[in-house]
Amino acid sequence: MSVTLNDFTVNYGAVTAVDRISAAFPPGATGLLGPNGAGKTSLIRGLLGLVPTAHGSATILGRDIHSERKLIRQLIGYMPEDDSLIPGLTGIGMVRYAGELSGMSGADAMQRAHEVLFLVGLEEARYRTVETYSAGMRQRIKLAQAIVHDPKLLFLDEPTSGMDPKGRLEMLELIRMIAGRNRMSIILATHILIDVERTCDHVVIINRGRLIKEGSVGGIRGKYAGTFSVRVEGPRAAFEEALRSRGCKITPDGAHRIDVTLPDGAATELFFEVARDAGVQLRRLLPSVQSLEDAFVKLVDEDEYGGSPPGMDGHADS
Amino acid sequence: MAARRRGWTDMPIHEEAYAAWEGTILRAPRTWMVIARTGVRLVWQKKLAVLLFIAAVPFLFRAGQVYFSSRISGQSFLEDIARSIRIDAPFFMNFMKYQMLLFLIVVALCGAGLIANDRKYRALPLYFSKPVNFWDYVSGKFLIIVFYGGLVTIVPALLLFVMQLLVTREQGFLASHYWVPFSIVAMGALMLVVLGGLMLTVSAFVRGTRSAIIAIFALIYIPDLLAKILSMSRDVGWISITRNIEQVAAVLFDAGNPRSYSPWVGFVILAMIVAACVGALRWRIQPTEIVK
Repeated sequence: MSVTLNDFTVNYGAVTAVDRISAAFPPGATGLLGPNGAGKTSLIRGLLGLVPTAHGSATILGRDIHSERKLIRQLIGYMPEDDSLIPGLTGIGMVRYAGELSGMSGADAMQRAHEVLFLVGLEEARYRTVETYSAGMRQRIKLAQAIVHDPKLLFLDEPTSGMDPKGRLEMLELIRMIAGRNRMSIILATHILIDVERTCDHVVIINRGRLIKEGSVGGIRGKYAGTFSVRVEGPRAAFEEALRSRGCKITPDGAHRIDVTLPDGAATELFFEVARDAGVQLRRLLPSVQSLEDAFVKLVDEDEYGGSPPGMDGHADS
Repeated sequence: MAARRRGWTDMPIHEEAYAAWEGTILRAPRTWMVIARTGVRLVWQKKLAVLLFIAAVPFLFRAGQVYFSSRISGQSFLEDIARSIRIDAPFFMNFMKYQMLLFLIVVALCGAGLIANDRKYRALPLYFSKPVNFWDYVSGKFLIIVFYGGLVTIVPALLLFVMQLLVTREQGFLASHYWVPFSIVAMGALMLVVLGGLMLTVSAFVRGTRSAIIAIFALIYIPDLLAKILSMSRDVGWISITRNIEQVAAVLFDAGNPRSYSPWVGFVILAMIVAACVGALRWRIQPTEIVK
């Protein structure tokens, strides 16, 4: 496992940012998902020892985060969420410096700095001081300093934040390229689900500091495979009652729609039969979850409200 | 084939892809040394050489005195002046004492931004996600101050001493002053630890270089001015950092106690300032700033 967490807790004074999370991040690319303020950044900072942990234990690449911190920091790369730069240095100087701080010799760090700056697309700007870099270039230089020493595990905290659409796609392509090498595991913390869908195989979802789901991207989407979003015109109560009598599970989804989970072995024809018998018109019938984003929204809603938020009608009808 | 016929050579086409690095990582990198080396280089690029050149003027004047005092003879008028210059332990102490202002200017210019700029550009998470701990970071930054501060205090004072050894006609000068180089190093170390530590602490508490420079001069010279004013009625030199340094230095150079109270008072106050600086740095230098 790249990372294992056991009752891992991070507090900021009286505020619990990460609340007794136990999870395992397998090798490969893993998305750490959660809405803003879910505790993603705090979890990473706690793992790296940048903020103190209040309770629990964790390992990174099989090493204890408290007793082997220095060694762990040599084996990992970290691209922080903040706009972090080492002032006064040129692009090449900053990446070389990062390499030397990680334990590379000066000559190795310099050679490797040129390579990674070329990779991240900063070869033209490498002799400019980093303070003059644009937001997109700053994201790239942060990635370069994180990978200069070829770490075994790379923590990326909101790597596409502040980037224009083209830059964002290029950054995702870079991450996919790095992840595709199979030598380096990646933990990608973000609230942009499409970024995770494009780059990761595994997902850990947290909300309000707590773990709400972990598994493969396909598995999490598949959790809702038999669930459909339905809207009808006519006597809805009779329709719902008829569905229940046929073994369906019904969850209200806003004022006008319902989520219906079919019993095992049932097919969508069931809706048409029940609608005909109940005398209603079917106006909408769609798989409830089509993307990771849908699954994520459902999981977060379930965590916060025990189902869909009352009175909300979040999806546009098709 | 067509390419060869046209005289082109075969060139490999490299795919733009992530390439693993096959080198070896040092298991216990001396990160404080990396921080110090890079910092010294960065400060040098700020054209500090001009300031160092200016700082050399008092050294050249004192070097002239050393030469003059030993080598002028046969000209009665100059000989009288030369005889009035005494090259002894207090001579070296006074040199370092008068270098203190230049030392402070150099330390302020090279030290003000050392931590302030890292905090301004949120560089601390980058440092502390590498194998760098608090002591590596602070000692690396402190060594930058030691390098430039030492260049205007310890190094020229030791050079003056060596020069005196080379030009003096006084029999047994080395035998009677062999301890002076140690005193020079001790006084320089005291200035570096106290004023350098204070500079780093100020740098950790302000966001901009300019504010740090103003703050360090205020911290040093306002108590100094107060001590001067209040000393008209009673000796309160202990409130001034520079006067405390001078008092401890007087003991180191066997020049007597210039104050009406024990030199231990000055020493303890300086030790307390250093301890407070370490505590403040420890509190202030956090990998991430937590907004409450």
